[in-house]
Amino acid sequence: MTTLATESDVAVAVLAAVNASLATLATSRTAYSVDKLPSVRPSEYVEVGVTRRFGGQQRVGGAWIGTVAWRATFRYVSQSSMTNARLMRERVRAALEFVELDGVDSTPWQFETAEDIGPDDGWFSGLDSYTTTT
Amino acid sequence: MTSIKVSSHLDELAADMEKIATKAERVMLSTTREALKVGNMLAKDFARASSGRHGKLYPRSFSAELTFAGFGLIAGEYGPDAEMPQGGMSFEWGSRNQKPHLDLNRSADVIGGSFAREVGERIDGLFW
Repeated sequence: MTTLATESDVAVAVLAAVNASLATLATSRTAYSVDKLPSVRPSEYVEVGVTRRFGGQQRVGGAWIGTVAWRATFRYVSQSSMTNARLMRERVRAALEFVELDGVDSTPWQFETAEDIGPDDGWFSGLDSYTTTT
Repeated sequence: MTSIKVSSHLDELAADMEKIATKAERVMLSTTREALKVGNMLAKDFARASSGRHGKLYPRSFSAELTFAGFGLIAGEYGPDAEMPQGGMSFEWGSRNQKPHLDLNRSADVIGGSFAREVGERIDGLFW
């Protein structure tokens, strides 16, 4: 019997993949879950959230197949540069889009929606969300 | 012995096809209106649960409207109206100081699949 991935499994896999990709930037940045954000915020970082979403895989006739659907959100934050926030966005996209992550048996991650990177309380930030099914 | 009684003919099908061309737009308009209404209700419910004390008026700013119908395209939108009290708050996608609430995304999770299925069924229904 296959064990279904937990929310923690998905979060760990997402953070590992995204951080490996962010580490390839000339100046390395880090992605954090909210509880791991340093109390003094870094000048540039990505904040990651993972949550279950309604549904999963549905047959045309309406029946649900035994799968679980997930959503991950990424907020790209930079104290001074929209360009750098976009660089982080691009590294996250490279790590996730159309990719099945190690450690979790899932469908490839799909882009869902995006918020423009723009002013955010004196800083700059924007958000993406991606979805997958395990 | 099995027998088949033919009660429809090709000319009747041709006549039906002509009617369907005009009827389909009306049916799809009402399907879209219903989906917008239900999607907005769901989003409003999610917003009521997530907005908290500081955003008491936020759920009341939700509305739905059909925005375009023509040239074979029907479009609508629902969600917080920025002109309404607290309608412009950044709850949906959050900010660096606030996690995203995703009320609209959550409602789309529910209504998205149902809407697609309903469209298919109502088109199917036009032939019967």
